[in-house]
Amino acid sequence: MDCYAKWILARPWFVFSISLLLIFIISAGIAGLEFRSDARIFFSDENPELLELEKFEEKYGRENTLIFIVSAKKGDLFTPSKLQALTTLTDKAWAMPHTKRVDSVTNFQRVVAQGDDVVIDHLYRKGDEISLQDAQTLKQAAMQEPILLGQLLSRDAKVGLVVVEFRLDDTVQGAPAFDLTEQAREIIADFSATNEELDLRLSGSLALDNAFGEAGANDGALLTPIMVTLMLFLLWLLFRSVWVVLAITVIMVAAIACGMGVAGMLGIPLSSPSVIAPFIILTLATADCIHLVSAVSRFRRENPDKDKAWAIQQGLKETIRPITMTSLATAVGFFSLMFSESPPFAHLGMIASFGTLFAWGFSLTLLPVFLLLFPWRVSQQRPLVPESLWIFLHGLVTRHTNKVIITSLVLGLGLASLALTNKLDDRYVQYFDERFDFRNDTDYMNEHIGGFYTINYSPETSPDGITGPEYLSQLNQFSGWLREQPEVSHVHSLADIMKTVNRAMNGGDKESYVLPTDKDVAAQYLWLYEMSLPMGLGLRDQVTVDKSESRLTVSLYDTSTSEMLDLTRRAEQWMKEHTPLLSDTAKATGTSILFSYIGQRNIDEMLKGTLLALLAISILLFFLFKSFVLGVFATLANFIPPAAALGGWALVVGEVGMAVAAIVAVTLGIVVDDTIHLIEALRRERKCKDVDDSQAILNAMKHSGPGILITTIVLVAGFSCLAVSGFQINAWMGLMTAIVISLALVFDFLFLPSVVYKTRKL
Amino acid sequence: MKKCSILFGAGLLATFSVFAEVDRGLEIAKETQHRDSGFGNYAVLGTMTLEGPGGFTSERKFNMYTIEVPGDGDKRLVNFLKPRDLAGMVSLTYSHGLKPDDQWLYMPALRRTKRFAARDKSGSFAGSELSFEDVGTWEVKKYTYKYIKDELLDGKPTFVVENTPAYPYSSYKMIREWVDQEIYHPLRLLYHDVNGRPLKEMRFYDYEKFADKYWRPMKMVMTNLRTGAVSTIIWSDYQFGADFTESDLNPSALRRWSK
Repeated sequence: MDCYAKWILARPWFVFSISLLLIFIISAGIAGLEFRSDARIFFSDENPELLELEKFEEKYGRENTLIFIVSAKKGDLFTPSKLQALTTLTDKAWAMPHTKRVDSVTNFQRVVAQGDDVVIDHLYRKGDEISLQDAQTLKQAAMQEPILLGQLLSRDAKVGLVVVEFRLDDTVQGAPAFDLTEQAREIIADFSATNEELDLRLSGSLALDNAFGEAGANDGALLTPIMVTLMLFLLWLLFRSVWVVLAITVIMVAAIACGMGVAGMLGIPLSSPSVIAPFIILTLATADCIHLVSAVSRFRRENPDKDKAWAIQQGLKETIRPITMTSLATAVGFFSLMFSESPPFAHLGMIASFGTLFAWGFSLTLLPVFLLLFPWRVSQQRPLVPESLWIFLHGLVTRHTNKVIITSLVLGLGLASLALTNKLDDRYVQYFDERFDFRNDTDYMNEHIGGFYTINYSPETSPDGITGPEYLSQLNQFSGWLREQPEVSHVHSLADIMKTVNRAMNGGDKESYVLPTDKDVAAQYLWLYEMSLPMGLGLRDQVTVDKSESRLTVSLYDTSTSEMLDLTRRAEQWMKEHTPLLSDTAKATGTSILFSYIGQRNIDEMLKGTLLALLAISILLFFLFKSFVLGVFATLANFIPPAAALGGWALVVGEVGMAVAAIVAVTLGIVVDDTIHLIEALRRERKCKDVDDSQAILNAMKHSGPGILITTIVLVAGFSCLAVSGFQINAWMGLMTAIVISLALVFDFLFLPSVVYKTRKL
Repeated sequence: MKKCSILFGAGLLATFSVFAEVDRGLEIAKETQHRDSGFGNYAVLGTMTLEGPGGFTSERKFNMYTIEVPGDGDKRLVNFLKPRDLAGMVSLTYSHGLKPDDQWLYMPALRRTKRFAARDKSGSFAGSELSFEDVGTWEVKKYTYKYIKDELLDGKPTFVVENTPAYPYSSYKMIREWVDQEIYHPLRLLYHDVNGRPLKEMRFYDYEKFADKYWRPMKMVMTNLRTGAVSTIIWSDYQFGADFTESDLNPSALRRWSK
């Protein structure tokens, strides 16, 4: 170690130039970084639910939607002026780029019996002169349309939807979700400026994608100033030297730039969860630097007669081993996120672990060089942490050893045992807090009409078989059962179309709203209907070209993923018992379904990753302690805090989402740092000086305690900042990590020293 | 002298071309109408293949009977033969330039003829990418015309003309047409939606001459530019002066056609 320190301090400008060159080369990779806001980034290419959905989309097309939610400020939507306004909005929606289809209350294709004729036309067509009376008659008619009511029109006729579908293939340039959402918001602004009768809101799958993008951008804009200010402030408080703050800032920036640069070179995309990687790197790099600078400062303060280079050399010698170990442990923890089923978390893990390694590298090369070259002065202020704290802790450890061990174990394990009582649940609309228009608007939609969350089925039969009476009848029964479920706001299937046409063909009376019983009649109804629908509103997204499959869409109110899973399982069971013709091929699919399974899948996969990380870290601890018993206890001291934090979470929040799976792995790598620093300090004190165990513990606390405490405060502060993110996954991850690190500190300052004292195994 | 008049004519054309694009377009349309009039009636067998998303394909077969009605729109009857569940259905359309067309559908399973009225004529023709508006018979007064330029299309000289539908409920804002300068029939149609964006493209192939005068394509391919779905029609057995009259193309006679 001495050699290394001497070597770099002998040629600072060489180290400086090489590092700078390296930084420039690697950070150039940032140019290759792309941000993906598509909700699908959460799913890997092999995700079975995604494959199922892609199969479905091959048949019916992919749903990229924007939904205008139109609500009447007074009364209902059925007045001449409001209907007219709805047609205007519908036309504006059609005029957006890449539109494939627009469905609205007004362009709903109503099948009407008129004498012996069948008229299929828009419910209300632009420009048609109607009176208020006519409008209310239309409302009565709309109330008789099960396909319309509850899907595009709320049951009280006060809220209507204009659903715009876009075809976005690979030829579409730029960020379509962002551009289209932006355009839709402009349409809303224009519309609201001239119309005082209607309120407009915006939702849909593209609005969701856009919200993911906004979340990333907001986090960047919101967290960067907070984090940077906080870190600079803490550093200034600690070292009272602009030069030191500058040196550490350069290391932070270099670590972030290189971590992101490597990500760019490897083609790792950024997404709303992985966008916090720079903040994590920033926090960890700061911690590394603090350890070294604190040690160097101490040597300078205590040896005013020696020169700066000597102090740096001693500081390096003391911290190179712990910094290396802790960085490796942290990188291993992050790297275990590779096991995540959800790519953004794997990406986050990779970027953060690269960043950690770069922070390690720079803090051991560039930082000592800066410390040598910069004219900084050691602050002569009193230590930030009063020594009495260490004496108090030492007293607890040596005088109440058993109590401390037992209390921490009982409390920790007790809380940890609650960890599994957390309910695994996600509502991906609620990933976004109330700062997001998307969240508020979608909540409004879910409350007043439903339909943001949908589940699709595509039961199969033989070609041209979808008009078979048995198939239709079972579709009808299944739809009927679904409609009785409390989560369901609307069900749309071919059976409804058949009943609607049958009613019109039989003079329009209510009694004939039943399925045709003859296959040929049904087939010909379908032809009549298909040939009458206007362009763009055809059946392409309802039945396959060869008529061997039809689509059944279930719209839901605000429903969590676990409720959704429960519903699909009930549906599966019901189909097995009642509609065997459908049960083999009708598989629930859709974005909601993807999110429903990802939580559990992520936990299952991350369990493996976490175990591996745990194994790697305990091997590291055994190697450090060179004692089995202490290794076991040290592992416990690091495993209990995340588990206990999860238990505490169960008490306070009770619900965990897909991000939680990552928590243990992420925090394990970070919390073990304190353990490593403490063990290193204990061993150093025990080895070098002629003192007993009790004195060694006190010395270790006095010497390394402040560094450990301060870096922990920095880490907790850094991760707590993430909690202000409006994006729940990041906020929860930050909050949870901060809690875990705080808990771990208690274990490191009380539990571990007590065990060491008790077993006398140093 | 002859040379002189050609030069004079060309000069005149150039002078007036700026003002005369609209007239020129109409002239081309009238020439088309003129060359194709007088056929009386014709029958043809269509075989249509649909390729939808996901690689699903489906085939349709139908006989199409068209009768020329001087002064009003033509009448057209389509008797579907394939697939099985469509077989026996018969559609009849009386096209009227600016009013909604009259349209009937005979449904053999019900043994009933239903008039179905839709102001848009954009309903899908037998589930294909062609709408009834696309398969409806063409008439000069259905559009206003604007000549754009001459252009080579697949090596053939064409007039490029923009046809703007006069029908208020048309699903198109404009159809850009490439008219073969030799036979005055379309080689390509580019349909623009009501927002003026290209929506569908129809290509016409292998024109053949029937009854010494009337050119008809043997193959038409419609591509939906938005979805990539393709509908191909192969025409065969053109019969001009076939054995049917206006009284056969009558709503009450549809049952007789149904097989």
